[in-house]
Amino acid sequence: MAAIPITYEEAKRLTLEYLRSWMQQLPAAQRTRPVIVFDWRSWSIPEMISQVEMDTDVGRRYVYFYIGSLRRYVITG
Amino acid sequence: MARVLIFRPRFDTATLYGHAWLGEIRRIAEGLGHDVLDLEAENATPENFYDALENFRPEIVIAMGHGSPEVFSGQDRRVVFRACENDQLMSGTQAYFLSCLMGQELAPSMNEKDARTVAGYIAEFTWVIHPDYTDRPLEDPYAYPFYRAVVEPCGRLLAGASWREWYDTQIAMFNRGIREWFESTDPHAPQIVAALEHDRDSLVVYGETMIRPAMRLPPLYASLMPIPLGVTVISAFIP
Repeated sequence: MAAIPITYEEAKRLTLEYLRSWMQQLPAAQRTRPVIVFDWRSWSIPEMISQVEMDTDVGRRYVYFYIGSLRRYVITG
Repeated sequence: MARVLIFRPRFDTATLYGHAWLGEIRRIAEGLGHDVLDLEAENATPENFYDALENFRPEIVIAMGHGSPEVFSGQDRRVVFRACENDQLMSGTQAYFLSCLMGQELAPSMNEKDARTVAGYIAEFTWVIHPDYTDRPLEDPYAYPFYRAVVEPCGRLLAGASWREWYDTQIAMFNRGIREWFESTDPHAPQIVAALEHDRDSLVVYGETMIRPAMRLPPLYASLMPIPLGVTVISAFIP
């Protein structure tokens, strides 16, 4: 199946949706605790959401990581 | 028996895990009768690494630390190796770097400067942790499939397996973790599976032959992939 081209902004929106959905599945007390090691640093989900929202280098790489994991999309711009 | 250098800084959550994982590799190496030099925590400095290469003369190096395409660092993120600056120091060794991104530039650069084999990752090495277990990483159920993928192949290598077998074992361990977590209803399961696939697909070995998975990484990484020169490319297809 051919990959569906999407813009970076769309990829970012999908990534933020995923992160927020993931966070909502956790008990409130656990939501701010570190759960991801990415770029050799540990992040809580709100911290990673912030990285993606602010378009930091880590946030952008996380967007590519997440979209790549879906194996459905290719980011075109 | 071989001289084995283990290098494992410890100064934050990520290195706590890597430190514990490579501690297991040290235990295996010693159990197999290898001559082991373990540079750990505050001893994981650039100076000690250079001194070990010159005086201990390891045949196998297993190192963990923060990385970028052209840099590998140790305790407190002090730079140990930088591509085309001092990577010739690894000449003659076989090495596995548990580190992010250095499979893009630094690892092939080391190999071009006569490091016999250099294994690492072209993308970020990423994993999932359970916050209740950060003080005992070896018991962390979320990190376990990543720990197994790192330690098991190194155990086999130290027992005499080839780098090809090391690579195949690491791929098999990632795939085993993916199968185990794929049907899980744990809220972290999708991230665990995604990270296992990501790490698996970014694994690369530079040596007499270059071994890497068939390209399935996103374009960001594809555009950065090194082009092997003068080596045979073996692409291991992962269905």
